[in-house]
Amino acid sequence: MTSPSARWFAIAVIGGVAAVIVTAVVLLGIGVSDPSPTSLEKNPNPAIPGDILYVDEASCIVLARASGEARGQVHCTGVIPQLLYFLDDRRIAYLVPNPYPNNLVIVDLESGRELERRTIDQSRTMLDFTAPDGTRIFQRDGARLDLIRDGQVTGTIAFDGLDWPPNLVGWSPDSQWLAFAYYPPRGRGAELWLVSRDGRVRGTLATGVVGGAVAWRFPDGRAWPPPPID
Amino acid sequence: MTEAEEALRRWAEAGLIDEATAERIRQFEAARRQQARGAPGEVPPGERPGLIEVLLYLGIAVLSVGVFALIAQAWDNLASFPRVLAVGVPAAFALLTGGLLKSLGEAGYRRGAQFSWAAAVGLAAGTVAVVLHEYEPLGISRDDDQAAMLIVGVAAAALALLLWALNPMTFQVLALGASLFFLGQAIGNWPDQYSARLAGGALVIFGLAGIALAEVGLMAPRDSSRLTFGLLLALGSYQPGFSDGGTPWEIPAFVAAAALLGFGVYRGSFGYVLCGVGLLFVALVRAIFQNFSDQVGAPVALIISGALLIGAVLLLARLAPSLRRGSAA
Repeated sequence: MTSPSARWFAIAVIGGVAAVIVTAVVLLGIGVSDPSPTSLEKNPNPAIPGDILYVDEASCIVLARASGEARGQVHCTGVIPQLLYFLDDRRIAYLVPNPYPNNLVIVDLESGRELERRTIDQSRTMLDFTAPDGTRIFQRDGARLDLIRDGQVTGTIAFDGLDWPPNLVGWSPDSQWLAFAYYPPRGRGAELWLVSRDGRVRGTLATGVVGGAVAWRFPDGRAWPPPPID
Repeated sequence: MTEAEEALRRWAEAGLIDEATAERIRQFEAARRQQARGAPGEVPPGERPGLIEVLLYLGIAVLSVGVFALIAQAWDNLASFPRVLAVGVPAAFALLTGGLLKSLGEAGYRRGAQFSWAAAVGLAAGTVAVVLHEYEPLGISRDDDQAAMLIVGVAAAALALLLWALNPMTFQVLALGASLFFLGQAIGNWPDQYSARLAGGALVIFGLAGIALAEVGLMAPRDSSRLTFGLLLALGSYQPGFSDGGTPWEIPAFVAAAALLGFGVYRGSFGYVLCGVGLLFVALVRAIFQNFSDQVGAPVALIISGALLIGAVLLLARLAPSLRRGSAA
């Protein structure tokens, strides 16, 4: 039987060793990487054109400048929309599965007020992630994406520090920019990344994004995805 | 005839001692044994588990099984606070029961106390995990497995250490070893991708620290401590090479096995030798299958593994008697 003082000494040794290891691993961030591009909210990039709709953690639709210069909540849905649309200069829309399938909710962009609900043809809610110019992406190996158009590889985007590429969630109307949802480890909310087609310009437009629904509009009225109603 | 009686007869026949001296030695040893046992031929009181002690173990086991059954069956129907209570109340009950039993002083109750406190370490760790998941304190997301696992590991190890200090017995050492093993895995889980090298490295450091304390007499009981921390050292050195590390990282396992074997023989510890032989056997078999099974084929690898197993058993059988005598001395 050891004496009490000897036992407390043993506790100090093992507890101290454990504390040093845990502190070192946590503070040094061993094996912890942050592959996220620069925050566009903190460092706006005017080179990224247009406006973007996305959904934040409060299930609210946010209208943001793609450059990151401004943003604001438009309408809180209470549910996570499946798809988002710019209908025209004054109206946006989102698709929700309840209370019945393909339920399109139209919202006034200025006031955030719900204008109308209607059921639309399911064929108009099928979204494929082909760019407006016909470009598609394919994962080549690891976290590299090939951009393929007319059967030809027109470019590659590599995501260093990732084992898998982030999820493609949208294109700019001119097919020159891609929007990705990145799901970081440790339970942090998803991030919305904007990446130029050549991969050189990148930015994190938002953190705490949910759902992966994105819509992109240019000042000339072009929008992606195309509106599901005429 | 006992070993001692045979020795006395042999020495008397050889003329080394006379019969009177042999008889005095017999009487001295008999008196010593009686003093230790209470009555000739009986197991000393308190050494043999009694009915109450057995029922106590049964109660603790039933309580623990009940908690797990509740978790398995009704977890989804419970709100957050009842979930915490479902694990926290048994944890507090096990802690209190252990404290009460320890205060009774008898050997059987003390054994029950260490069993109860060992269960309390696991239940308390579960309680911390449930609180983290249900209430997300300190901004720790319930999806943040890395942070949650680390906090649970630290809490379990801290409680196990404290309980060992209050009751330095075998089950407390085992609970400490188990909680340090969990903490080691939590440390390895901290990076974005699980790191077997980090986990194994932490286990090796914990093992070496415990072995050092056991050898200078600060970690008791010594035999349990040697076995527990020897096992941590063995697991930690094995993990990097045979999880994801590849050939260079297999070497620490063989170095640790040799060190445990050599140190075990040097210190007369069967526990270290057992860990060393076990590690050597498992590491050799895994190394053969991992590196050479393509060349030699699975049947030959199995034959080699069987030969290694026989060799390990023979080595243990050869070393065990002398190590036991060394430990007893």
